Amino acid sequence: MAPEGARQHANWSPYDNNGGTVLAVAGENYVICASDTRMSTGYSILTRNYEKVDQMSPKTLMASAGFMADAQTLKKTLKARCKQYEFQNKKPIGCVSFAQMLSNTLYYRRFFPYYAFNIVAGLDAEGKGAVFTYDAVGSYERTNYSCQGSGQALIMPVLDNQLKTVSPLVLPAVSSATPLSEAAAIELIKDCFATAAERDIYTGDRVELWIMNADGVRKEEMPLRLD
Amino acid sequence: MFRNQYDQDMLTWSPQGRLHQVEYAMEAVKQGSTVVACGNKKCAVLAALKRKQSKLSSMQEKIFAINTRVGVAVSGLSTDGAKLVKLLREESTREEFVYGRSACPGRLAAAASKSLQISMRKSSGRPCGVGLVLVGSSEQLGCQIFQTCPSGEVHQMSCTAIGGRSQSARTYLEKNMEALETASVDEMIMIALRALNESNVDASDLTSDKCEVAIVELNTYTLKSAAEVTTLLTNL
Repeated sequence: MAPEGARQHANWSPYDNNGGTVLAVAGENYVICASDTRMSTGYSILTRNYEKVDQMSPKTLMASAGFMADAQTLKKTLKARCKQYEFQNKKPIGCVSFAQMLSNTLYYRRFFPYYAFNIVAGLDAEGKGAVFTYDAVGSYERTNYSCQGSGQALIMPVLDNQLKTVSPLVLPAVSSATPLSEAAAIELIKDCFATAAERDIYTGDRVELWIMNADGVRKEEMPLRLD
Repeated sequence: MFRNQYDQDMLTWSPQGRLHQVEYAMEAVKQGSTVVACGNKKCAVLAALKRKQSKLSSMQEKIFAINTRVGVAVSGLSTDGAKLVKLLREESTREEFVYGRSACPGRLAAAASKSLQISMRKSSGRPCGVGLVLVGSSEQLGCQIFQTCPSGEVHQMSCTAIGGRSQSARTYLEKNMEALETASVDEMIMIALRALNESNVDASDLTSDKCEVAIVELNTYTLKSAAEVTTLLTNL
C-alpha cells in the first residue's frame, strides 16, 4: 500500500515511441522528403521496412516520426479529408492548404495529442519547394529544411551548417529556398542519415528519399547500418 | 391530378394502401431531364441530358463521381440530388477509412436507399424528390447499374432511363438489350447516346454542352470531356 498522501502513478501509457527519423529539404524547384525505414519499440526492432513518408496529394508529401499508430491514423484521417477537399473544390489539395489542415487536426487533439512529429513537404502554387515543420499539437512554420524524430539532434546541426540561409530581413532579398541543386541535396540527405545511423540506435536499415519536382515524384533509396 | 383527402402528409395511408406523398415525389423525378444507363459485366455507360435554368445560367451538372470506380446521375430536384451525392461520397470515404478499399456500387445504393427510406417514415421531412442512377464496378461482380427512387426502392438494372421523356429512351434500350450483352465500350457508348437522342425532342441536336457521358470499366470511372463527347456525337 502506498503511504498516506502519496500519489499513485499510472503504469500504462497510451503512447509508445517507435523511433526513426524524418527530414525534408526545399529547393528552388524541388523538394525532397526522406525517412529511415526502421520501426522499433524499446530496444527491439519491429520491422526494418516501415515507410514513414506518404504522398497525400499530387503536390504534398507527409512524413511522421514518433508513435506509428498515431501517425498512421493521422494520415488516414487526413487522406479522407483530402478526398473531401477534392470533391468540394474540384481540384486536389495544395501543400499550403494541407499544411494548415494538418495543424488544425493536431490542435483539435490538444488535450490528448497525436504523438506524431510531422513534416509536410511539397511544391507550392509557384512550383517552389516548401517544407513545413510541426510539433505534436499543431504549431507549424514554413522553412527550407527540417528534421524530426530520434535522429533530430544529430542531423539538425548538420543541416543548419550546410543549408542555413541569411535572414529574410536582409536586403537585397535572397530566395528563401536552399540554393543547393537537387543532386547535391540528395547526396547531403543520404550523408545525414548515414551519420545519424552511426550513433542513434533507432535510425538505420534503409533511407528512402521521395523527390518531388515539376516532372512528378520519384523515389531513391540507400541501405544504412543494420545494427 | 390525384387531389384527395389522404395526401396531406407522409404518415397517412390511403384506403388503397398507397402513400400519395411518395407517389407525388416520384412525379418530381419525371420533371428532371433524361438520364440513360446501359451496360454489361465488362463496361457500363451513363449518359445524361443537361438543361439550364435560364438563357443566362450555366448547364446543370448531372453526372457526379462518387469514388474512383462509381459514378451517379440524378434526375429531379437537383438540390436533393446534391445532398444525396454528398451522402454517397461521405459513405464511400467512410468505407475506405474502415475497410481500406473502395466502396462497391451495391453498398452505395443500399446507403442511398437507407437515407431515402428514413424520410418516408418521418412527418418532419419530405421524401427526396430525386431519382438516382448509379453505375460502378466491383472486382467480384463486374460492372453494375442501380436505380433508386424517392420511395427508397433500389433495383439493379441491365439498362435504364429515368427523367422527362425517358420512355422513348427505355423503348430504344429494350429493343437493343441483346446487343448490350456483348457490346464493347465504344458500341455501348453509341447505344446510350442513341437512346438519349430518342428523348431529346428539342429543336436543337445533341451537342457536348447538352449532354454528359461517363463510362465505367473494371475498377475505373471516367467522365468524358466536352471534346471527347463532341467526337462521340459525330458518329451518332
